[in-house]
Amino acid sequence: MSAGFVSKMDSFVSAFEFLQRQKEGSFLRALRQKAFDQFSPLGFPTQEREEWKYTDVSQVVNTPYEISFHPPSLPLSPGPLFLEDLPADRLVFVNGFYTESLSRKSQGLQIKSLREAVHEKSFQKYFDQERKEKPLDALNTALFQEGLFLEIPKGAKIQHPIHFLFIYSCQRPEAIFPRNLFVLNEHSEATVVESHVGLDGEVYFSSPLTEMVLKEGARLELIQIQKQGGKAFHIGSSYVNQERNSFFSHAVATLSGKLVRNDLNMTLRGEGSECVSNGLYWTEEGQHVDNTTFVDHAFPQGTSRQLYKGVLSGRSTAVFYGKILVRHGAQKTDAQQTNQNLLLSKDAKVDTRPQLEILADDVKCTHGAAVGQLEEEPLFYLKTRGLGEAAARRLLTYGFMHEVTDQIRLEPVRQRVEEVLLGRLL
Amino acid sequence: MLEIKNLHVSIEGVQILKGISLKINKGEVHAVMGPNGSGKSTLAKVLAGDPAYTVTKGEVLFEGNNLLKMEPEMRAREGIFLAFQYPVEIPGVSNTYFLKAALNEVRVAKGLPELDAMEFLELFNKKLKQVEMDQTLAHRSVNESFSGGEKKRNEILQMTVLEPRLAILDETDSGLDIDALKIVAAGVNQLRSPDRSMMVVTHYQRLLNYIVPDFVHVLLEGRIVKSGSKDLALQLEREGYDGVKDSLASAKS
Amino acid sequence: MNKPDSFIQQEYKYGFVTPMEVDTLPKGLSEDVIRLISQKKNEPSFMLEWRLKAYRHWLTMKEPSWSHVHYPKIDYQDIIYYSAPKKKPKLNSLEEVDKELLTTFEKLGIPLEEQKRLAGVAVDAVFDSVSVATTFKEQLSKAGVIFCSFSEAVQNHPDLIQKYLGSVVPYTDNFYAALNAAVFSDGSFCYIPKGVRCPMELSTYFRINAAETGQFERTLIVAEEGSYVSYLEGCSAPLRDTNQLHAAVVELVAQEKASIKYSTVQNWYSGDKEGKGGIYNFVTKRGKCVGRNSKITWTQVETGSAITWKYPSVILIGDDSVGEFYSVALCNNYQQADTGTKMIHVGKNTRSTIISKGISARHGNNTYRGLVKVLPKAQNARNYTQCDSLLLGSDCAANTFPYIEVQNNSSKVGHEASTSKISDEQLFYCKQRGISSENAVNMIVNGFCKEVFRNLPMEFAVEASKLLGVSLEGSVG
Repeated sequence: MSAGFVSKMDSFVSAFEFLQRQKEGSFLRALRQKAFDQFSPLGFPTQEREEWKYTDVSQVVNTPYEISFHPPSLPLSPGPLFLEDLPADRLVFVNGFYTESLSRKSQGLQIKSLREAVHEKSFQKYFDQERKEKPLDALNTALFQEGLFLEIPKGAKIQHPIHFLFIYSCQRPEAIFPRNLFVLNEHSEATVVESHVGLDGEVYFSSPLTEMVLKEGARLELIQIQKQGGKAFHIGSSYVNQERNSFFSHAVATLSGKLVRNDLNMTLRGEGSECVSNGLYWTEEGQHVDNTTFVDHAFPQGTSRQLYKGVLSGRSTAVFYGKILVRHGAQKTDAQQTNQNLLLSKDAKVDTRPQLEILADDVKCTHGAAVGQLEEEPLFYLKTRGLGEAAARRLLTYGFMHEVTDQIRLEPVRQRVEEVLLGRLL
Repeated sequence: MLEIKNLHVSIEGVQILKGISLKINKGEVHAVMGPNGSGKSTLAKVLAGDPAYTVTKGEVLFEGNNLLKMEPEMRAREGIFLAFQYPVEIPGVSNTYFLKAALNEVRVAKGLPELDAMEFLELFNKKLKQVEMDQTLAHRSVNESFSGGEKKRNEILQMTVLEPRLAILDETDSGLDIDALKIVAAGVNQLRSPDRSMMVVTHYQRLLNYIVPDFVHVLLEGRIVKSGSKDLALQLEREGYDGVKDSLASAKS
Repeated sequence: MNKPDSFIQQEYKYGFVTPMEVDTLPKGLSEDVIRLISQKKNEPSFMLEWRLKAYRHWLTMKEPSWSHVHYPKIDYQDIIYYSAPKKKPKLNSLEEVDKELLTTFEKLGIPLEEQKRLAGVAVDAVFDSVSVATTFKEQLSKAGVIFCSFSEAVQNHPDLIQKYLGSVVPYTDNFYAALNAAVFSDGSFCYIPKGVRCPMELSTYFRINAAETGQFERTLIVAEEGSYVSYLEGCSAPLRDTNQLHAAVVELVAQEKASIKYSTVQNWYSGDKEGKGGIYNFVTKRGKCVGRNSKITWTQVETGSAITWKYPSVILIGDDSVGEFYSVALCNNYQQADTGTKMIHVGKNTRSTIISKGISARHGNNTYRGLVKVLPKAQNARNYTQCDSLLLGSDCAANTFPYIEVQNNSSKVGHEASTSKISDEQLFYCKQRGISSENAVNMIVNGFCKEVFRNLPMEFAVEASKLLGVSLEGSVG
């Protein structure tokens, strides 16, 4: 394969044309064509679109990217990998390309590259099925370089977590479109960690898309961490399709990255299914973090819980846009959503929009949002116990975040996240 | 006054009452005792017409009429009062407004004229004193941010105002300290009259020290397994429900 | 439980039509129509110029489509923009008011005749496009309060009009505000001078009578330093199977330490059970807390209209100023409402409270949409928002769409919302006390709205509570 393509939108067109000339097979070719046709007239989203009202992607668009279709050739000396000590099967991707030499597989998992899996029925049935007509998700389908198809067999309970580690190392600005599909068959269980780690000085645009299918009674725990470089753009989408009595537990921690957008779509497509999503973000100078969630209660007796908490410092902005839709007939739905923000600096800005759209009557739905500062009373209390102002504030800020970090049930991951947060407090 | 014949009741497909027969005459006080899950609260709620329960078999006559055919509000207007175990909160609706509406419904059913606001308040204040409740209660919303004890006393207050023919007290003693219990019991005793019957549903004998029943029935697994005088309650207190079970078992064998 | 249809459907009480001889312009809108309206009202040239600017601007605007309501496209050339009862254009006393009109307002429960007047409430009655009578004028003028129709104010107080007209809602603000500025025919004007506590409630009653007319009235209230006024607004319209457009503009100005309480009980005809007919109520209401320590309170009870689309807002400019919004919106049958508020915190220590209660029944679709914006200089700004929705029946919808934008780190903003139905336990409890389902639902719904009702003046609160009961009748299953 020849190398990349440079310049702004042209690079996407050229990359697409390049891919159409490759022997990817009719299934993929058709999918990519359809997706690119969706993307082309729309382009990158503008703030006129309701779901992008508070996030301006012009700085992402205005960067000329290379799009590479072969693994990076530069010799990598990665040093210790992120979450190296996590007892897990580890699948490492460098600039979107699966890298066997850094990976570690021990549990006999059914993992195939997307290109290998393309002829399989279960792949064709689920791949690209959940994606809504959002321009950047369409762009991912049109241009994804590589990715994995993970299928957990019926009733299988995967003991150790599976860590999808995405490492970015780009000497020139690159656009990278990781793509994965997880199918958890009936009553299977798995824990997946998806982390994105990049270098501070490098400019790149990562736009991952992960689709997840939870068949009846399946349980998936997903932890997503963005520890992207300080100049990196990250716009990721996750789609979860939940069948009867399935359970999806999600935690997302945005630790760094210039512009990070997490788009999470959870569809409860069977009775009695449940999803939990907890998010945290701590923004620093020049950062913008956007968490956009959508819970679609399409069937009765679904439960959803969301708790997103953020701390904002420096000149930074955070956005929360969470929508709960309870469709006609989705009776006995129980949905909750909370977003809380702590403003540490006078230049920080928060836009939050929790939204309820309810079309069934026998439901319990609540949402709440708050923006504020640390409470005076506990501050005073801590001072009476001998803590100085700064120490007291640090402790309370840590306490504020703890409600969410506590929900990360994978101990080494929780520790790592807390380390990063504690580092900021010092 | 009340005649229950072979009553079978289920909720969400689970059979709770499995053939209850019981007769309460005018002026009598019956205690229905039983451990948790025996079906005693179910019995109380079914008599009041809680739509969550399904009567699968049997009949209930109230003053000779088929009670089970009546809507809950009709039963209330006929003089059946249920003091709830867990009275529900109705935000924004003041206690006096609520009770005045209820009283006037009952009065109209009895062929009495409705009371206007002034007449009602006079009556209400008199009754408040009877149950030793605070004046501020009048303005608060029905059961909203009431303590457990206040809720129970509020039920007794309502009963005192509505003057039912048959009062059903569902675990009115639960969650009450001894002082509150005495006040509640005093309120109930004031209402005892040759024209009024009562069914006192309780887990513990304690309440029956204050509201002395004419008859005691023991409910186990949806059936009345033993009936007797007030002494039966004392026996239960000594031996516990297991004691009754054991003696029943040995009697059978 | 009783079936929905077993309750008697009470008819909309105010759906009658008054046969009147009217002075009506032909359908359609053009610069000539605007000139005619201005001419009929004998307006000074600044008014005509302002109207024409608004009209020209309107021509460049697009009808907004972002709200959560659906309706067929409105043909703006198929509307009559001016309709007035024919008799004497200028009224000095009630004796000159047409008997038909007096009877109409009496049937609506708004007696205008001296001996029957509502105690302590001065009323400006607006019939179709014009104000027909204002009561208690003399008493008010003794206190220095100006309360008159907008047309009169243009004649008698042009300086005040010129100063404040469009100062809160400029004609460029939005599509309907521009349209209103171009064609509005009347409305009410209140001016409360410095330090005056208005001695009585002021009230405007709006009545649409003529068919195929749009109603475009404009209200302007100016409260000078340290003054206080409580203003009430009521509305009704005849039953018709075609939709009618009502696009009003309300502007409030509160100077230092002034306080304006603006209450609305909106009962425009809402269409029939199948959703045919009814008023499109597209209204722009905004207040400006200009001075320090000023306060504006919007209280609204919205039970009517086929579609309601309005966001009474407060711009909190003066330090320590306060904005409040209390709302009950009921959507029954096929009614749609997209309503809420905007609280824009500009000054320091500004505070706002939003309490919204939405009730949806049958196919009603109720949306709360609200913006709380804290600008960088609004030190210590505070907002508290509570939005509750009550759903009656499985075919209705309730949406809560808050927008919270905070740019100041010493401010605190809190939003809470809940959606629920009347619980079976609550219903059973009431029924066990002898109360019928219908009365129980009424009682519980009224309790749900209590926080809002208690902000209404007494007589209005009673009225609103009754109205809610009537509007809900037949909707409870």
